[in-house]
Amino acid sequence: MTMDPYNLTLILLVTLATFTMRAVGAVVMARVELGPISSAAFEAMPVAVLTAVIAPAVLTQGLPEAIAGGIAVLVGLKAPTAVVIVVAMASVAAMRHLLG
Amino acid sequence: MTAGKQEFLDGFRLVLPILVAPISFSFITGATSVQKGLSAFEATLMSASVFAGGGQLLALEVWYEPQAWLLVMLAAISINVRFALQAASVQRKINHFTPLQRWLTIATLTDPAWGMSEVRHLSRQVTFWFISGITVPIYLIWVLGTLAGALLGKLIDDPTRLGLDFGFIGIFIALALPFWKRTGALPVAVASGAVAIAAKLAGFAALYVFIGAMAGVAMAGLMAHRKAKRAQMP
Repeated sequence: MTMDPYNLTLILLVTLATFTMRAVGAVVMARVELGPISSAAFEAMPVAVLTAVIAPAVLTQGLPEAIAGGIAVLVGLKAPTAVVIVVAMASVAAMRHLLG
Repeated sequence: MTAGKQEFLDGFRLVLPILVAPISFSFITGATSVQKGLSAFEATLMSASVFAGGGQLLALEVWYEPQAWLLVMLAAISINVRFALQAASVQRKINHFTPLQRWLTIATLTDPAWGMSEVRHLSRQVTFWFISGITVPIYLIWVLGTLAGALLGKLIDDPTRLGLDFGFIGIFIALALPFWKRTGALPVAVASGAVAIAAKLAGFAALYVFIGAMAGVAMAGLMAHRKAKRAQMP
């Protein structure tokens, strides 16, 4: 059982940041009415963050990642989450093998 | 307690078909954590205390960057800010809980617990046992799956050859698709995706997610502003 102070500190900070998000919603935002512009901005947060993670990972790493990302999106239009995960891993492994 | 038991089973039955997602997600999180230099114990501790896979994986991406203490928090905040919206909505439906039950629910809120509570609320009052039936199995799987991934992930000498690193992207794509299909999502996605790519290529190794997301949010605000202005015109 290894415990590194650096790792433990960062784990604590990630825990605090995540808990704060949940708590802020329950304590503050449940009482505040947002205007149309700020609520539109807030509602866009999930799609903005997810796309900002996905687009660079799929489009800046190389051809295998780009093709596998495309396949995962197409499969995801119909298939459930677990299938998308497996397809993403399998297709990137296959593409790296074929192209790399 | 019988009524509570029934409520718990109701939640459990709803969550059962989707448990395969946290199983694979937690395994990847554990494997990625040890790959990034955490011990199996630290990886499991992180899953038990953070309990939010997207934020954990994103934080691990910037774990050894300069100013990591700030970057891991920005990573967790940018991906987990959705919990603020979800908690705000759930809070309004659980006012009848005891304070302890309320805080347990908020502290362990997940996408499924939020979504299924919203649907449940349409037909009847949401109970603590109902939410527990959703959250307890997810939590147990999350912690044990991380441990399994941390222990077994060590045995795989090159995880990229098996595409394990891309499982994380698969999860994010599956999470994003329902949002991408909504009206008005395309300009937001294009703005955040394009700016995130530009920021990454420009060398903002750790901040590109945050920068891209802010561009997407700004685009959404701009669209709402223009719509409000159009509505004002006679």
